[in-house]
Amino acid sequence: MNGAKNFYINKKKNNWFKILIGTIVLLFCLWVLNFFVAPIKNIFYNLSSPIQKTFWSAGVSSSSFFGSLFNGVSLFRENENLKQENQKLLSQIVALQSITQENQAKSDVLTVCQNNGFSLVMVGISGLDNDNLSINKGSADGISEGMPVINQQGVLFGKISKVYKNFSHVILISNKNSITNVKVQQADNMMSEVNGVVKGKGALTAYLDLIPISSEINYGDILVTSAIDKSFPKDLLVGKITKKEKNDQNPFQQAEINLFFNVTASDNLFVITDYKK
Amino acid sequence: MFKKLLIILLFFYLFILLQNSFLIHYGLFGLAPDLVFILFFLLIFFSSKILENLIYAVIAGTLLDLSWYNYLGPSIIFFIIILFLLKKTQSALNIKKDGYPFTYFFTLFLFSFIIYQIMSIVYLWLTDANNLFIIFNIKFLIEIIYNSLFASFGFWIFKKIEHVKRI
Repeated sequence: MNGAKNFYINKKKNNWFKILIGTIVLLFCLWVLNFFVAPIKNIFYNLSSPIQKTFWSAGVSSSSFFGSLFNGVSLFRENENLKQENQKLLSQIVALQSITQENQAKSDVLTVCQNNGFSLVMVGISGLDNDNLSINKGSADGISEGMPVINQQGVLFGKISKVYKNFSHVILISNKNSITNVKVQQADNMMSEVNGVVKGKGALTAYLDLIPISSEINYGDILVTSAIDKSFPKDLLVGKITKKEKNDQNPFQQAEINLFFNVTASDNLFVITDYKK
Repeated sequence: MFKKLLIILLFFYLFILLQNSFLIHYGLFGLAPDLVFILFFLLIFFSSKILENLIYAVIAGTLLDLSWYNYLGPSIIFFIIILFLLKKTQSALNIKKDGYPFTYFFTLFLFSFIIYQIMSIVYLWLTDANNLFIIFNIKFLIEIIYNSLFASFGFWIFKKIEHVKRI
């Protein structure tokens, strides 16, 4: 009886010993492999890139086809709304024409980049996961960590977070670990500048935070990069305020925002390669 | 055995490419289904061979790590932990010979998926944390439901395959 019990305990101890040895061996193998992770990942990416790019393009075209098919019913209502919005916009145009500086700031940001002497490298999107994009250019194309990523309209997507030889990862501004300094684009130049931060919420969404309670922000206000921390060039388009949340007990106000970038509709982006912090 | 593993490797590879590219465009709130996790769970749920299951964990984990993480290892370890927990639970519940009821599968999938998500989030937070964030929000719930739908469909397919095998 005692012998059987001892045998059982020994067997149990043996199992735990095997698990422990197995874990140590596994961790050691992983530790060694991590010294070669960059070239391994690069080979993996080179193999996958053509297929993934094809899948991405297929996704873009098929989703826009199905999207238009399913949205056909709501087109009539949308048309009516657009007509009303158009009339509103026409009246606003008259007011906007007098603010030439404002118009200049809101014009195509790509021109701003070119005026600032930024050079751009066009990159293709090949994947998205957890608000991280993978793009088809890497250190071999002059990409390095921290470089801002925009689209052709000058809408900010994020910055390069990891670079490999032939591909890179981009941390989107909607990533939960992303914080971007922004300012609220003021219609009136006489008003003081309102600064805040856009914090990622994940799933391609973000919110505006750290706006002083005394500052006035409104629905529809445009957010652009402020370049306070020099991570991004100033005046890149970020998003639009959709709902503000003001609480007198809180020293700062927050707001829900609609980010301007549309990852799923984009095929190509631009990396600003010579932005000096 | 080798042929089977090669086919499964190809499936994992195809699924990882699909979920990172094509399925993004059909995602809910920017979320694509985690096909790799679903396939891995289905494989280990229906298989009792420990070595085979370990190989699945290494294949799926390696591909995920190569695809997204900066280091090799986290996904492999997560999958091995999930495998260990699932097999412990299955042996504790001891429901093996009644054809795996759906509710049994669904409950185990939910728990495993939540544990997997928490491990991934904690890892991301530990390696690249600028701010602490809330994980149990509405999107987390949607992600669970969305993945459960795909897993249920996968369960139905696996059951059909099991049925054909038995015949």
